[in-house]
Amino acid sequence: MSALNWAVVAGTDEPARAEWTRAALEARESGEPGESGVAEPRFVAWSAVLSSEAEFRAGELVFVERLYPRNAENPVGGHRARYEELRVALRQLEAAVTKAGATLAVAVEPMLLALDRRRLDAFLRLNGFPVLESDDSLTDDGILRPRFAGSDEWLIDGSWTHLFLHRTRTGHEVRHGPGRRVPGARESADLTGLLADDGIHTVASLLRVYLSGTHYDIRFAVLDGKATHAAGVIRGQAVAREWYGGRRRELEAFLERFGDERWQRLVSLAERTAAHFPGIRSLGVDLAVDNHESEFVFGVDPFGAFLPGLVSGLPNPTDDRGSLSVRAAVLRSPASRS
Amino acid sequence: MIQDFRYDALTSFHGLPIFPFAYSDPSDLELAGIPEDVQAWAWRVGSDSYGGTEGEVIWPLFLDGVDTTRVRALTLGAWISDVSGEGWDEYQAALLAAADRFPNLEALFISDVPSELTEVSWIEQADPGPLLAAFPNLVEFGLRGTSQLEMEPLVHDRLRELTIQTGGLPPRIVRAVGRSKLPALTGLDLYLGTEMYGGGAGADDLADILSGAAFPALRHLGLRNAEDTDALAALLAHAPVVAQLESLDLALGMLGDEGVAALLAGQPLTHLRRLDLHHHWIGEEMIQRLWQALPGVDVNVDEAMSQRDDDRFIAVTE
Repeated sequence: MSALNWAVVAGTDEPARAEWTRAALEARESGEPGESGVAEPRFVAWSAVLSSEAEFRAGELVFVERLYPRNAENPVGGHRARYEELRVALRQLEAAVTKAGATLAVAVEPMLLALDRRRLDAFLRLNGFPVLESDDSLTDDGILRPRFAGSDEWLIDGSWTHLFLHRTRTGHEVRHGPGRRVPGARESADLTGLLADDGIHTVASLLRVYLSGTHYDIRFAVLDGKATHAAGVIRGQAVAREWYGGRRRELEAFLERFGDERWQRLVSLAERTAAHFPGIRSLGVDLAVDNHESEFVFGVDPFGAFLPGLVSGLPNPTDDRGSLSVRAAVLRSPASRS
Repeated sequence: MIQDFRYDALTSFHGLPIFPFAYSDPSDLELAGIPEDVQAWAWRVGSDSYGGTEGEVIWPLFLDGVDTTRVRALTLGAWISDVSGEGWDEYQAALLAAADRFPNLEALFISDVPSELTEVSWIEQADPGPLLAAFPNLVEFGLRGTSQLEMEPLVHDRLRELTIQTGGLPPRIVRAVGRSKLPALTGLDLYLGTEMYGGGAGADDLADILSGAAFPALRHLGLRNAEDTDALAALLAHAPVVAQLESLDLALGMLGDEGVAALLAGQPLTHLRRLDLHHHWIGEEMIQRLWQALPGVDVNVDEAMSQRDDDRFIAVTE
C-alpha cells in the first residue's frame, strides 16, 4: 500500500495542527507490518485558500479544520458573519481542490447544513429524529443558541450562563466569562436582543442527565458510521479541550446511570444521525438526554469530535480503531486512501 | 489578575487555559489524552468529584504522567474527595516533597475547588509561607478559603501577583499581608468578605496597604467582595496608595452612590487605566457622573444589582 498523500487546511495557529501530526505518528506506529504508513501532514493555511494562493496536488486527500478558532474573543457575536465567510471559503477550497485533481475529504453541502441549526433541526425533524422544539417565546426557561455555528459555540439556559451583559459608555455588549449569577428573564431577553443578528433561537429546556452535581450532554465521535468514542460534555462552561467540555467524565459513570439497553440506544441514535450526512466521514454528534427516557439530537459537528481514549461501552471495543485517536483512525482507515 | 470567583473552579490561570488532571477512576487514565504542550496549560490537579479518586492517588499519577519540569502554572484541587475543604496540609506536604520537580513553576493557586464540592467558607488552609520559600521563581500566587488559616507575613523576592479569595478574610490575615516583604508585588486582590464568615477588616487592618508603603511596586489593588464598600471607598478617596495605581478594583461588593460620591470628591482618579466596580448598587445618575469625571478610564459598572434586589449583599459569602 502506498503512503497516504494528504494535506490539512487549517488556521496558522490551529491547535489541531499538532494533533494531526501526532495522529500521523500514531497511525504509522499502529499500522500493519509492511505498510508504508502515514507521512507527516502537509498544512495549507486558510489564508492561502482565501487569497487564491493555495496549491494542492493531484491525488491529494484534503482535510479541513475550522476557519476560526473555537473560542472567539469577547465580545460574543458575529456567528452569522463567520458562517457566511466559512461558506464562501469552503466554496473556494472546493474549487481549488477540484482544479488540482485532489479530493476534499468532506462534502461541503452537508457540512453547511450541520452548521445552520435551524436548517439542521428542520432536516432532522423531517427525517424522524427527535430534536428539542423551537420556542421563541421562551426567555428564561429555554436554551438559547446561535443559529450559525462553526467557530465559537455557546448557549444560555434558564439556570446557567457564562454570557453576561457588559455595559459600555454607549450601550451594551455580550461577553463570556466565568459563571456569574443566574440571569433573570429581563437580562436573558436583553442578551437575546443583542445577539439577534446571529439568528439566536430558543429551544425547549431539558433536565439533562445529572452526575456528581453537574449536568451533561453526551458527545459521540462517529467515524464511517460507527461510534468510536464518547464523552460527557458540560454545557455552558469554558472548553479547555473540545473533548472535555471543561471536565472529563469517564463513560463508566454514564453506563452505570443509563444501563446497557439505553446506552446502546444512544449509540444507535448517534450513528443513525451521522448516516444522514453522507460525505463526512468523521462527525461529532451531541445528544441532549435526561435521566430517564428523553433523548434528542442537539448538534452535529462536521469538524468531528476528538475524544482520545474514551472508548468504553462502545459496540466494537476490540476494534483497533478504539485504541487510536479519531484523527489517527481516519488516517489509518482504508477508506481514506486515495 | 485571577478571574472572578463565584462558584466555579478557574477556567484560566496565569494567562493559560486550565487542563483538569482529575479522574474518577485511575485505571481509566489515558495518557493519550494528555497534551504534549505541557507548558501551554495551567494544570489543575486533584479530586474533582464527590467520592471520586483521592488526591493522594491523583498526585503521583500526575508526577509520573506529566513532564512537570515544563509545568509553568499549577492549581490544586481537592485532596479528599468527599470533604473537599480539608486535607490541604497533606497536599502541601506532597507538593513540598516534589518541589524540585517543578523548576519552571511560575504560578501556583491553592484550593481551586468549586462550590459544588465545598463552600468557600469550609476550605481549610495551612500557612502558605513554606510554599513560597520552596518555589523562589513564583511570580503569581493565590489561594481560596481562609478557614483555619494562620499566616505570618509573606516573604518572596519575585512574586508579582497575590490573590486571596474568601467569603470572610480575617483581619489578622489582612494585617499579615500588609506586613509582607514582597518587593516585586504589582498586583494584590483581597476578597475581604463579611464578618459572618470571619471577615471584618477595617481601616487599621488595611493601613499598611493603603499607605502605599507596604508594596512600592503595586499597580493594581483589588479590595473586592467588601461588605461596607462605601466606607472602603471613602478610605481610598484619600489613601496614598491610589496615586501609584493603574487599576483599582472594588468589585463584587456593595458599593452605592455614597461610596462613589466619596471617591469622586477625593483625590484625582484620572490617572487610572481601570476602575472595576462591577456588582454594585450605584444609581444611574451616579454612573453618568463617574463616566463624565473619568473620561479616559475603563470603568466597569456591570451587574447593577439594584435592578434585581434592593437589599445589598456581597458576591461571595458562604
